Amino acid sequence: MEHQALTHPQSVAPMRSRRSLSPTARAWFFLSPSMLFLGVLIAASLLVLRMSVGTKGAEWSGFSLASYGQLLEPYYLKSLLLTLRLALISAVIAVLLAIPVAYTMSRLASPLLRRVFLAAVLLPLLVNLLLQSYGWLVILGPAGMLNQALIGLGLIKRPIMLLYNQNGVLMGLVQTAFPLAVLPIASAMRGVARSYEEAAATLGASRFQVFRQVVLPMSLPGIITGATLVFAYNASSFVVPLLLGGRRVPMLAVMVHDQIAPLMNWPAASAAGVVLIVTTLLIMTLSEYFTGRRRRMLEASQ
Amino acid sequence: MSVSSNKRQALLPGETGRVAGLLSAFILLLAVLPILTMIVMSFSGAANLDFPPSSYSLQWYRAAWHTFVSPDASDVLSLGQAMGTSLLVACLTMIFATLIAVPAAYALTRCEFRGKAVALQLMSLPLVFPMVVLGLALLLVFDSLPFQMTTSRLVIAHVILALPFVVKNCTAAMLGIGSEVEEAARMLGATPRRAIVDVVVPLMKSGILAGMLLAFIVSFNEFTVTYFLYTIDVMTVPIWMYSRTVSSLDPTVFSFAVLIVLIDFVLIWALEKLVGEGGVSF
Amino acid sequence: MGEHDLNRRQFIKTASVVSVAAAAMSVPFISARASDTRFVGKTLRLLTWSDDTGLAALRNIAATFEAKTGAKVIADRTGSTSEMVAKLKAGGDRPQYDIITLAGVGAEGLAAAGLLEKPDLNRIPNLVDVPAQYRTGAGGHGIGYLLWCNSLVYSTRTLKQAPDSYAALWDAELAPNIFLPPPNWTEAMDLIIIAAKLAGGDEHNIEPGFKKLAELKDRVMTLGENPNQIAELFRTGSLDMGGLYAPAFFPKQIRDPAYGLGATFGMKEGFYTDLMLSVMPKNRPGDTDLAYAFIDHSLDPLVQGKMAEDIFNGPVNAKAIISSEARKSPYILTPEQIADKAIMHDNAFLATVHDQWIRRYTEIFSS
Repeated sequence: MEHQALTHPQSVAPMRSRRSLSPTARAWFFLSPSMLFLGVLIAASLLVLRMSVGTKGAEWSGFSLASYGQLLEPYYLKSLLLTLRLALISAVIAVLLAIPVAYTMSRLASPLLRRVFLAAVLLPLLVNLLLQSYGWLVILGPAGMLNQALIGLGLIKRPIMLLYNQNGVLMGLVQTAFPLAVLPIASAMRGVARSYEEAAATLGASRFQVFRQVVLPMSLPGIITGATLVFAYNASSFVVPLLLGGRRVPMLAVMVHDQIAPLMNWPAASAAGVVLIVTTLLIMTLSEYFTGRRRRMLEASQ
Repeated sequence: MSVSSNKRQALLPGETGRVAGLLSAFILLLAVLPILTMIVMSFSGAANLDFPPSSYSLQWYRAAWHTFVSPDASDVLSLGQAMGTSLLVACLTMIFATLIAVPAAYALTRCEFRGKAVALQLMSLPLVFPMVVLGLALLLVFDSLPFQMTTSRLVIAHVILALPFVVKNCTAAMLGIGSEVEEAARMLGATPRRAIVDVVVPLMKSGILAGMLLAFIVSFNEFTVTYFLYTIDVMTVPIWMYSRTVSSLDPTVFSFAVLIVLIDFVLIWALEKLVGEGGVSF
Repeated sequence: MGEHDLNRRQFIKTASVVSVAAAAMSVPFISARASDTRFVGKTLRLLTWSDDTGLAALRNIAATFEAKTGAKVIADRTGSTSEMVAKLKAGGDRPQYDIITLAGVGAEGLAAAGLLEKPDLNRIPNLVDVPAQYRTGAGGHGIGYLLWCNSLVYSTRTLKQAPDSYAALWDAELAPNIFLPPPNWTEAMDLIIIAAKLAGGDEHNIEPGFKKLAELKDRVMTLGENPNQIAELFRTGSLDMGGLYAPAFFPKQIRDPAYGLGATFGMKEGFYTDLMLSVMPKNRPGDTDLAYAFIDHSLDPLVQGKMAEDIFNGPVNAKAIISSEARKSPYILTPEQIADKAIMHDNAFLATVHDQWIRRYTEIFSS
């Protein structure tokens, strides 16, 4: 109930004295309804933080840094590195593939095509991955269509393994996180005023030159945002390595899961979770800093 | 408007435009390939996953319809009930997420204030939380409360998960308006409150609606966190699907999946229609 | 209880009393219709597995129980032991269920967290026919209800006859492409012990086992987390052998010749089993007598036989009635075979090594 009261800030008394409110107080007042919900999330984060320094069986009363110490063992370090590497590569690939898609989407005139494109971008993220994994099996499995075609063409003798290894996981990571790359880039490209393109074209630049020297640099903030989102999303990916990695690609979230159950070592799971969250937040902050600077530079140059 | 769209027509077709178009169509085809395969298999006449199917029939749709109308006595909930819960949760999520995101977006675009960086980070926190940890932590939070919640805890969790997307779209819409509109309204004598409610919000309409639909889509498809928070009486469609597919598979599941893809498709269609050329913001 | 404190595996040699007469009896499956009216209109909330075992439990246990007592069973079929346990542990003192069926290792976790009530064995009359080692688990907090029996799974197209030893997994000529269980499953723990024994060690001298497992690395296609994917890989001829894996995952596919899928319990080393338990959480929402009646019903000789025939799991009731037809099937275990060849999982010991073994196993097979 309290949410409703807060979501109509206009009707309550403090509004009248707004002039006397500092901008900070005013801003936080507008933010307060969302903070109420995010408060639940903050409570959850604090809980995770508390558990991570607890001990197994005494998550709330014990205190020990052993779970963090354990993360320094090669087993976890290797997994963390693998996770960051796969998340990074998937972000780079996703962005490279997203640039032409986003460019096309931002310049499509036909509403019909735009809708079909948007659906094709969003659906892989939305549809149950377990079901999609059957699709991948049929296409890329050892006896799947691709292998059959390659064998039929005489290109290979034995089926190549495209699933159940890092390649399979990488492909799944790119596929599911693709919308997170496409949409910010498309937004940024839409924002590049057409007059710039036209001006460049009148000056005799070819279309590709316009794209490369005008559109691309000007949508860099969107590109960085997209890459960061894909990275953050994939760093904590769990279902993809499970279904397409055949359990042979030990990304950190899979290990977090093993620690939650069956091992029931919640402090270890929380510590690994905290490391994941902090790492991704750090990278997002860095990216925010760079895009912010870039945006200011662009604005200044306008 | 018409002038600029004419110019664009002249601008897009061209070598680069065509190459980019074909390339992106190919990339997107690859991305949806597993879903297309699934759709084809739902029309299979066989009981296994042979692809391409040796024969085609509607048998799995008939079976799916049968489950839908006369739920198996042995199953806890019918798909119909799960669908009801999913729609209710998604609608509530949509409403709450929008009601809280609009003022937040206003603060984030129009105000320079201390703690803005913190606020922005908090907004993106739901995106970086590993879902399994989030599910477990939220369950612990809700269970520490002195009263029991069922549907409401799903709504709260979904609002949190949808918030970054909704705020982002509202922020984008607000940036597009420019503060001069609000200032003009105030100069014409409107109170600050009226300037926001009567001028800014209506102008943001398509951005807000896009955010609402995104919230709906996020909620309707959410699985991992919901898995931890659902109860035996309140189950959503993805959970229902999971209980049907995790280790026993029959092609009826593909028919249900096609239904869900169809619902999502319609939602996305509506979303695109709302935002039009402005595009969805992320 | 005593057996469960032992820090070693138990080889079950107790010859159980098997009533051939009982097997020959042809009692109609649902013998009494609502003979007991105490429970009419009451509701029991059950959490069970999402796989075919859960489905079979609904068909053979819940449905017949409803018919017999007039009670209503509401079942949640979303469990997959480990997540299920995590959720229940977090849910703590507000359980939604009256009865939960789960693997022994999960029951231990819940019992350790103090969430389970210790059932009164005297209120479960059918327990008299259950051999002592299968009666209870998790320190007396769970009642045995079926034996999850792990087999070697093989392609009937590549292998002309069923393998008779686990050593077959190491035979690259016989089976070029294999799958193994995922590290977080107890099946993987059993496999490590098997490898150790084949290499001259045992569960307390496990190092040779890891070395032996490492030999398999290049032939392992996947650590099969999803049984349907595994079945598909067999159907398309991509896999030749694998295990440990329960045929209970593939009741439909094993019966369908298109899959070319076989499973065997006939290894000379014996087969590994895990006792599945019914547990009663503290502060249950429903009626206690009803919960006891349900557990007792799940041990009924007819019900036990039906479950064994349906999903290829071992009955715990030594008098379980298996039809003469079903006795011919290599997948359906009889109480005699269980008494003879079953090796039971020692959860108490495994709990002490679980973490380390999961890590080693994961490391060995990382691609």
